Amino acid sequence: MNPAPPVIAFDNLTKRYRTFEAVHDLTLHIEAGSICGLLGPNGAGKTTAMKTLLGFLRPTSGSVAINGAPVTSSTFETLSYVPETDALFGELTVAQHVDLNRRAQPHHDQRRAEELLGIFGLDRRKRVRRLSKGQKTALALVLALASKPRVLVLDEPSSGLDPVFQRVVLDLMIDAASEGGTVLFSSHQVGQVERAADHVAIMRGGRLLLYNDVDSLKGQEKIIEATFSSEIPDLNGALGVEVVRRVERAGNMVRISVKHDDGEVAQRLAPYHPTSIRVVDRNLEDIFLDVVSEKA
Amino acid sequence: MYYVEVLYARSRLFWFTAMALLVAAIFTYFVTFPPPQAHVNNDGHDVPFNAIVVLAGFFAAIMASILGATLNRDGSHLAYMWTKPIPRERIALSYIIIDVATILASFAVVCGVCSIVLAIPPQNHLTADASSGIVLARALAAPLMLYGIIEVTTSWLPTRLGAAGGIIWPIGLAIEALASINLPFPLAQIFYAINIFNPIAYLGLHGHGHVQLMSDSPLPFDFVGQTILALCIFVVSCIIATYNWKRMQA
Repeated sequence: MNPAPPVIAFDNLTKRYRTFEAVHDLTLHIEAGSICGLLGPNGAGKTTAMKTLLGFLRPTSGSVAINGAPVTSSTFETLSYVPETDALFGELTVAQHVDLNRRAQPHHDQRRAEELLGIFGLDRRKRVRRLSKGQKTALALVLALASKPRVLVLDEPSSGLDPVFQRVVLDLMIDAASEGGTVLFSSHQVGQVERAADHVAIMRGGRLLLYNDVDSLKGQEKIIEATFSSEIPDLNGALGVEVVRRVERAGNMVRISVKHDDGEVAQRLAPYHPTSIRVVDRNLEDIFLDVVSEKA
Repeated sequence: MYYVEVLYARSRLFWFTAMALLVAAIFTYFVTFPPPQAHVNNDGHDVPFNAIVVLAGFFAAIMASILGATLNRDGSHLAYMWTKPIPRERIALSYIIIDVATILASFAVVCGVCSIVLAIPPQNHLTADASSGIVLARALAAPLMLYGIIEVTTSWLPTRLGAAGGIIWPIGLAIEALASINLPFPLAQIFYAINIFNPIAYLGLHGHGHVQLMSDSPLPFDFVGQTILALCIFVVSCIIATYNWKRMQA
């Protein structure tokens, strides 16, 4: 029996605009129930990859698929997309947009739409052109989620939202995945990806630099933070071991990145009498900056 | 998605009808209560049907200019429109059908308003002749062709070109003028060929019902042939516009 195809699949996708290559040989498979955060600086190719996935752009080479099949109009019965830029109709009211969604989407859930409008505090009578950027993003999210999608593709979904609603958006994504949905979202904010995603893909210059599950990535390396009562002593004797990848000094504290923590580095620091030593996971921001700068 | 275009077209038709009624009311007022110094002949007139439909065709062409470029106009909403489970060609076709219905409705509004206004002095008679059928067809074909040409020239562009409906009038008049004058070879032939696809050239009715709204434009075929040609250009333009829009990258 053949295994189920990935819900979202990019296979050797390249998208070129004349001489500019926006995406180069991207291969990325996202399984059902996963939340994949797509990270990358501006111009990394995140939006181009998403637009190609959704059929707005034709691949120069390679292919994309949703549930193993090319994207057609019927794909959007179970896939919702929230674009980075405002694509709503300025002249229509919030209520008219919900009505439009009800007419167009076979799985539209009016009760869910009303509930989400309430969560985001959107006035049903207001015309979209009178909404703030964050409110427009919120409305786009309401429409996307009210369609009960099995696949969610979100391009900068918290753009313009205040921190409270950013948290709401992340919770909604987590809820969608917990019900078996698959989420692909892009963000500039590493913290959001760290909080919501179980997988992270990092792109730069159109290339995929890294794709892995967040917990494994964070567990691969540890940070040893040692604090000293006065100036940091010369630690060269303690740090000359293979597992040490990087040392950062800030005031009385030294942060040492190690490939894996077997206690050796902490033991070597003890003779220097630090006031405290603690071992923490690397955060995603460290990983992101490492990956982007290493491959620059 | 047709709902969006219905709202847009409905609002344009509302204002169009309101303007037509306002003009009719002003006209009727001055005919009914003429200024003392004015002389109004109430003996009755024969009002040619052809004149009314040509006038209606002209105003329907204005409505076609307003509604044309509809696929281009919604270019900034593609991320929303194309992610609904509706085939793109069906979206485009529904937009075109709504626009065509609105153009026909605006034509009917002008015909209706003109008929009511002319019926107020009861001595007036609406007169039709053998050419009225084809004149009616031509008066409908020209605005539809105008709509089709605007649609096909703008549908494939990702950037908005809402002004195309206005720009086409001076361009069309210029082409018509250039095709009418004696230019040296091959310019005369080039402008003659371009003029075949110039919807403004089809608005004229020289020699039919003694009505001439535009200049007499050089076109191939006779009056009936030109009308059929205009309708064919409209249909082909809409098909190409739909295909272009479907294939567009956004």
